[in-house]
Amino acid sequence: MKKRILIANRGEIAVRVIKTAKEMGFETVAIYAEDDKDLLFSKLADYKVSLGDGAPKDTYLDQDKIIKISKEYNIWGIHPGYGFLSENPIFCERVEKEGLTFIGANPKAMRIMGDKKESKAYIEKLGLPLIPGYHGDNQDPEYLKSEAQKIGYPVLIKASAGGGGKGMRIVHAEKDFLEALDSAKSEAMKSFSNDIVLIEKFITKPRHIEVQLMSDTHGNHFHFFERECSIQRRYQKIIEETPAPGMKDDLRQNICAAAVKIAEGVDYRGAGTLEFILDENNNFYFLEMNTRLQVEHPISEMITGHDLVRHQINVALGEKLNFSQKEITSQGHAIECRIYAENPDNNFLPTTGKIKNIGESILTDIRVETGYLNSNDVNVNYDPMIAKIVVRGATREIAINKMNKALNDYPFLGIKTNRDYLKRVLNSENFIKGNIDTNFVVNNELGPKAFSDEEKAMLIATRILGENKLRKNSDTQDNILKNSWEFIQGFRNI
Amino acid sequence: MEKKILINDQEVVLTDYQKEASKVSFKINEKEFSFKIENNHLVFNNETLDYRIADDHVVVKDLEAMVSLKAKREGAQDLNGEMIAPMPCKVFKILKSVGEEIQEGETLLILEAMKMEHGIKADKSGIVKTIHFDIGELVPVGALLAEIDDA
Repeated sequence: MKKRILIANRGEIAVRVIKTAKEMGFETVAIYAEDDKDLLFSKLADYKVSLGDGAPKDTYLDQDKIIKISKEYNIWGIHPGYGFLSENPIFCERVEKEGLTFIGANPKAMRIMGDKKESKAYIEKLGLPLIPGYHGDNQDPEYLKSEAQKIGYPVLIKASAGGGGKGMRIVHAEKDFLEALDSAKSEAMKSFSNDIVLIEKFITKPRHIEVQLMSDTHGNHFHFFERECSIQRRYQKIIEETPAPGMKDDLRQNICAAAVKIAEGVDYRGAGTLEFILDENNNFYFLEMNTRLQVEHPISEMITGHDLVRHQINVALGEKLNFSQKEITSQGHAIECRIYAENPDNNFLPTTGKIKNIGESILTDIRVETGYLNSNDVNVNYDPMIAKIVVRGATREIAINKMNKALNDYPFLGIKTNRDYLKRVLNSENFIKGNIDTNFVVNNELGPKAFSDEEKAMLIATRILGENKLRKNSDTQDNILKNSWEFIQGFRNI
Repeated sequence: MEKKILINDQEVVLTDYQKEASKVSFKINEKEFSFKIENNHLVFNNETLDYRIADDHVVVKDLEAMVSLKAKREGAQDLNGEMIAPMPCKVFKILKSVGEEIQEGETLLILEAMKMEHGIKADKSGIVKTIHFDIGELVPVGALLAEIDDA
């Protein structure tokens, strides 16, 4: 009998895992919340099981349900994707205790890296650089304020258990400290049931550079080069690329070596990412380690030709990663754009609606990873990321041009997205020159361009004359699924 | 014939509007434009343009906009000075109850959409008159959330 993998996730990452699992000869089981029953991932899997209605805590985060289904379906391994239970050591241990395989990191690494304070203490012990800050237990507001004074303003207040910008505040002057602390703590309590914070020196022009790692259970730890992820809004990445523009080879080697050293020290297993902050003087500091596969992993796959999900599964099978660091090479330049259902011209606030036409492309070296099909609704219950478009070109310039074309080819009609904004970023002078840091979105006010009369006329004429085009081509649900299959086959066209 | 059209909620006035089968012509600011559709492409000035469209959502060349043939946005009203939902969302928390006093700038309720919270602040000081939604209720974009009476 074929071994079975259950994907404890939804959307594009579930689709991504199903693809490689099938390619390797596994059977796949998708679990879905009722809201998601029409999404692609549940249709692609060999078996699909409903988690019922309700909020994530009663569906994708319900460990009892997931274990029960895994037993019923005679599952070999559970792939947690990213988010949800992917970095939860309790879940991982429970899965292993039940005699199942967790296709992810080891609990020891999750525990150390899942806690910002513990992870920093560990990095300090390794002698690797940390941003100056206070990571101690004393949470008395006046004491924290005196620590902030010692570090020197501006400082960053961060929730110890945090992520995604929750419980995070930048403070520019002493007078604002206590108020910011109070709101950071209350947000942290709400989001993570834990209001312990740490204080750090705020770096004014930071670049977010991260290193992709993969470790087996035979003591081998590899890096798959760096990714530049500085283009962010609200601390969430929107454009990632590799190699990092302008990075010198010796710096690249140092940063990748530091990442491997950190993985070795926690006996790391599987896919992981080391995130660093790079300052204006090319000093890098440890930011955090994500003990899971990341959203932007495809750009690393594009330039190295490695399938990271395949490696994850092989590592979970106990196999040795059968290559050397030297054999992992990088070719060309890859860029990922994240398509969000949001309006960049209205503070990036989320939008909802029905996706009527995703689009299609004849470009080569492109991957479009989405969990949606034409006619699917995007609702308010989950993350607003609806797709990732990933391209590779021989040079950065070629990749940027290709991405511009790809964004035109995939309009995601029916819902307001950040697609046009992404094009504004790609075509801005600062992006093209590689002048990027994590303040890019705030510092480059890339508002919508006013339409000329001619452009207005083109839009209006299309609206008036083009009305029937979609209707003529409009698909029945069956056709959509059939087409999406073909569409999926082309996904990993690398 | 004159025709009013909204591009991203901005009004555009067309004059000398004429349409037949797969052709249309009109003037914007006295400039004349004419278009036709051929082989699923828009033809303009001998240039063939690729386009996509789903209802009001129009993409042509590298341009994208919401183009509405209705001269007025549906349900549009003067919402000046009232608290309206800036996005489709759920009500996460209500911090004041009807009849309670509130100061301008004080947070009245918190909305939640896609794991993100957004506080709605009182736009003036006074007494909370009505709150139109309950906790957990779905709120469409542009909905009036609450009203405040002068104290």
